[in-house]
Amino acid sequence: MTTYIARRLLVFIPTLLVVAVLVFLMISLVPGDPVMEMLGMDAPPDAVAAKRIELGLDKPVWMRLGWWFGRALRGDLGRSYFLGEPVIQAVAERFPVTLSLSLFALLISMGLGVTAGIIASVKHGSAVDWGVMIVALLALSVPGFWLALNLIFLFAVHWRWFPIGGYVSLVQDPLQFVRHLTLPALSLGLVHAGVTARMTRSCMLEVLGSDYVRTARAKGLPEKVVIIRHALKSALIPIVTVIGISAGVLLGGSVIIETVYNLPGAGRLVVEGVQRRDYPVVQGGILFITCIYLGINLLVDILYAWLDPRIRYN
Amino acid sequence: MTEKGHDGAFTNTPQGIHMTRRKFLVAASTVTASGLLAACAQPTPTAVPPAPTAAKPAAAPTAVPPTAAPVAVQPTAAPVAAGAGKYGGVFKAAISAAPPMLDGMASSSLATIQIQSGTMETLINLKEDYSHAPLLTTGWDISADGTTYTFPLRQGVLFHNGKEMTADDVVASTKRFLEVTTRAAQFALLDSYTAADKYTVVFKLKKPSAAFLDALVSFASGLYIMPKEIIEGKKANELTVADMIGTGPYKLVEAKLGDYVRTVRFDKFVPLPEPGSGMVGGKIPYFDEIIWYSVPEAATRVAGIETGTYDWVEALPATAYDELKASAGVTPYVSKPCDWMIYLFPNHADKFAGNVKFRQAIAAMLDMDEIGMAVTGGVKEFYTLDASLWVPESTWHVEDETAKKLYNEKNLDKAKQLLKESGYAGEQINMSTNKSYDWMYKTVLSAADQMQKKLGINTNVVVMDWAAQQKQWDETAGWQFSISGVRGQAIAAPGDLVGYWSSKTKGGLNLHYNNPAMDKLVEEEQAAATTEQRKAAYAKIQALYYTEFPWMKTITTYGLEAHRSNIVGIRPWYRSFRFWNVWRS
Repeated sequence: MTTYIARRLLVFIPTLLVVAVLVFLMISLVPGDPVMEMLGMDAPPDAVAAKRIELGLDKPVWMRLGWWFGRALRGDLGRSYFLGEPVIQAVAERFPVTLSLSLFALLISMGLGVTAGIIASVKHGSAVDWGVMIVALLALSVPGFWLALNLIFLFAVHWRWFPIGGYVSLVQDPLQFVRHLTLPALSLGLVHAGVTARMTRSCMLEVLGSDYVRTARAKGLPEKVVIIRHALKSALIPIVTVIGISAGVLLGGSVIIETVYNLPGAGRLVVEGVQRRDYPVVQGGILFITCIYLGINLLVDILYAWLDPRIRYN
Repeated sequence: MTEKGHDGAFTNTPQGIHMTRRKFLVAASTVTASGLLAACAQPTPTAVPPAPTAAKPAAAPTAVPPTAAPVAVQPTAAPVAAGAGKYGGVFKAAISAAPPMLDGMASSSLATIQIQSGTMETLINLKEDYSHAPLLTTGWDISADGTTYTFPLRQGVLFHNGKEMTADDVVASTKRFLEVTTRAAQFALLDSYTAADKYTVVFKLKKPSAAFLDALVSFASGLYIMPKEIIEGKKANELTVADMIGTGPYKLVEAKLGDYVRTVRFDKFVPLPEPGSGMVGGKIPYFDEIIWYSVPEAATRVAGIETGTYDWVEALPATAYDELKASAGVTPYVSKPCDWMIYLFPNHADKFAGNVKFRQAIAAMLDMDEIGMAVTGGVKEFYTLDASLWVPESTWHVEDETAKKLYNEKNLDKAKQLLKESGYAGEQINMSTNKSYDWMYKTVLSAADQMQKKLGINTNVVVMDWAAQQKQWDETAGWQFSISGVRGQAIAAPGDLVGYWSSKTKGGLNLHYNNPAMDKLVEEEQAAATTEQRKAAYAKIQALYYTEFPWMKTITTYGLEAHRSNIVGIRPWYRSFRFWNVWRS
């Protein structure tokens, strides 16, 4: 397994290289000019030209890409044109918000999704099964943006149970941390809970009909033990796959939710970077998120081996 | 292969990884908890100040008494008496954008202007009636030949770092301003600026220009007076938060661009004795702090004012007006005289958009009410139609019968004839817009729809992002029409507006327009020595505009803003974000 992990970590390097080159080329080739954003649309051409020289934007893309790699290899992802701080610092300051939101949303999607899926499979064909599946279908059909606005209207504006947005860190105030993240995490997590519920139900139904489950029941094991210990564990492989994908999608999906709930996260940083053509922020932010995504994928693969001893990577 | 032993969560053996369920749960909990702890290990951007929190449920309906019949506040020219309010508290303002930078000398971004309005000051500025008035000076003197402006400075004015402002600071600020500003062209006639003594500054012009005072008061990329030792040698965007030292009633103490900017009352600020008016007069900083939150989502700003999360919000959709009027504790108001004066931008390098007959055809056809209804969602209070290039409240408003006839003419026969004369034969006309600014998007959609349905023009709406759209203006091909709007230029900075139409203005908003007759008029305007001469020049420019259409004026929108009803002293004006002389009741 150690060899496998080491090999996978080595694969990260070319993956990150490809991502870095692609992102650099894409953001550089998209029309737009960070200098216009900095100096305003009525900036005189000579001021714009001077600023472009100062930022090195007058040089060809390949040359800027070379410079960027040269610095990146020394651990320097550059400085934001607008924030006036190193990109690593800007991302590191904001990533905890995105991570908190994504983890909270993942807990919601796993908790609700797996539970609902198990209940639906156990009550297969009943009104409960139908009810759970209709709700799950609705949840995954609803756009996160629309759901977020409606949750704000109901729970923040109408009933005032939760704030409309903003972020308070766990260290600063644990209760406010939970209050501020509940609606954003629900907006993000409910959609994935629907996917997880449907996948769990489907996998559980397949396993519940297998011989060894029938044997477990014949042995007189309590139904709870049969379902949780015998059936669920076998059904977990595809569920973990879906959860792994969800974790990556949640990181990406947090971009919109961070904007709606005014959360100062890394996703919003990247979006604003794109809007302003803050090339170093976009490049550094996406690279950082790619690293996290690759890490999640590796974790999922390791989990496979633990869940199913037949899986060997060596 | 490594072995961790019995206490480790993982045990690597030749057979693979084995882990008990309990160990897995323990490990999973540890990973989750450490993730959350890691998430909270560093102070986050919103750690201080805390995120805006909603008013407690119990407080919302009771502490803030519902207003039975909220009445929209209209702009008032009445000056505000100083010393009438109540000190204390934190004022939370939600603005729609994040400032690209805090350096107000270098940036013309509205968000920068908003935030720096309370921290930075200029030599002179505008009163409520848009006339010029001294701010950091005691007045000004213009020489008989109109080329020398002498500004005696107020004595005892302190910067936020405690140092007294002197003429050397003004000279240093002017020097840096000219190096970093986006408005250098407006200072082309400036010959020299010197400190005559410790409290007197002299500006000499190459030739008389009444527009010089306008250039001094412009908010966008402003000539803010800052301490010499702080700004010397600093290029655009090289000033840190600690360097943001001005003379205003609030000082900037913390900034997380994209999230919030915090300003606190400058305790050594000495307000002028006269009542506050516009950007001048007595400014009393009643609030202990003003925090500017960048809240890009309009629906979140609406929810924020309803819940009391914010005390003031701007740039709300007109369609939220009725909802806010019915919301307890909220006072929405129509912000006049101008939110945006919206223009279609023709690409003058293009065969058709650069053809005057083609532009005249479109101008003759356009129904501005259709555009107004599209932009405001049918809420008529939020737009107005007026032919003048300057709003009626402006000193520079031009009443002109020809312009009145040609604006919103809706003469289809004339339009079809002009289109025929232009030689148009069904070619595709690309109209660029963006979704970042809803009013731009809807104006282009409405105009393109009218052009297609009424004149049979083959329009193609191209949606791009705002940065790409601005960049496109430099290009000569690939687009026929684009869009943007003006605000300050339509009220108090007329020179900025007409300056774009001079061929000497290269790139950007000039849109490749080149007309010697317009150049001559712009030169005449720039050299005008008196207000009357300037007015005459603007009348001529407007007359030429309505035969040429260098840009194509559509509607003037009004803004929807709102404040909590317990906030007193908000005065809708050209700049309603003046939060001095404002307090919580």
